[in-house]
Amino acid sequence: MTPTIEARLARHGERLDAATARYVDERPARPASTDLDEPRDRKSPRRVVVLSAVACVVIVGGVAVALHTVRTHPAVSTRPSIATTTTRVAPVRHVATDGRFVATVLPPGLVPHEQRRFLEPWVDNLVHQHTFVGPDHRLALAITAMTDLKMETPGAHPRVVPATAVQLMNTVGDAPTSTHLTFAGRPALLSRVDDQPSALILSWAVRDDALVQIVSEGAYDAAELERIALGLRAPS
Amino acid sequence: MVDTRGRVELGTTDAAFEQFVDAVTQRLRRALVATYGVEVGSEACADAIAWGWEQRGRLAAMANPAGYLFRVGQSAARTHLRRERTIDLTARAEARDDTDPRLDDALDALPARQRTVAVLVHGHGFSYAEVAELTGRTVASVRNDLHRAMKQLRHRLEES
Repeated sequence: MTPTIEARLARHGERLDAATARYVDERPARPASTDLDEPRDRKSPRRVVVLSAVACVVIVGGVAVALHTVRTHPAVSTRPSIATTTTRVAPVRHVATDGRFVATVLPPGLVPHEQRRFLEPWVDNLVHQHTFVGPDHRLALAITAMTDLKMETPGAHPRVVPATAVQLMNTVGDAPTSTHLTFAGRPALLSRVDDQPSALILSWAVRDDALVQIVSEGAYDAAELERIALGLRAPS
Repeated sequence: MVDTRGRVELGTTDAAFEQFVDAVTQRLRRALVATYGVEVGSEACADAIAWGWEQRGRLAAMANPAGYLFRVGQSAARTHLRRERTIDLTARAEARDDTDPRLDDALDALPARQRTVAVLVHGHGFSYAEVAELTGRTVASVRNDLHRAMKQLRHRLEES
């Protein structure tokens, strides 16, 4: 007759007692334990690993956020800011557009990814871009093709003036330093500012009823800018 | 030293601690052996008692010193298991010598908590309250574990 499980367990208990007694009697002497710990039910290895991983993620995330803040916050950043820069050579002084182009005057000495840093906040639906850098790298003119026009950056609106202002601009064009040209198939005027010899103005009649003006400050050769403007083509 | 509920009390003197150890050692060792095996359980019990001697002042202020020592023993057993990946099965083999390797295998397949309860209650005659006190759990939890353990053992032993 097969004994019940309870009886088998009772026999198992007796065997365990006997084996334990033998082990205790015969076990070799061992050095006293030096790290008798208090209960560590809350510190299982798996929990320690999980908590360590969480702590690492929090620390790395915090460092990343701090670095990002330091690099981008206007109060601590050493980089020029579109919204706050008021230096003589502003990052962007004016933007010209007819719905297909945006012309942006950039500060000198920017590498391409820095140019994109200035351009991207300004331009939505960017599809194509030409960037022209002057021979002395002191000024750049970026022409960006757009499918749509959204200019919502505060303090950076394109200067679009009524067509009647063309006459006003043409008075500047009467000066010896002005140049008439065709910009993307539309008449435009490139001129200097009388009291600022190093500044250039590109006035562009993008539509019959609107004129866009690009002002660039810096020692930029008028003929070079004209060549750039003449080389522009509308995207097909 | 043992109150009406089977709880072992601990006084503040060295003599009281020795009486406490005499009263609690066997059940503590049985519980740890049932959970971790003969070798690791015995070593863990010795470690727990040694810790209790060093900290007898703190232990005397505890409501359930035997339960606390069991948890100290659990920590010590985990330390042993981490250090000694290969366990000496000599004592275990001796225990298997006489009979019932199928019961040993079935017990090994149980979760540690259920195995401990089954061995303590049916192997050593502990009451539910004694198991609950020693392992720091409720009587209902002990009863549930025992029910599940016995169901599993029947399934394994009677089907084969």
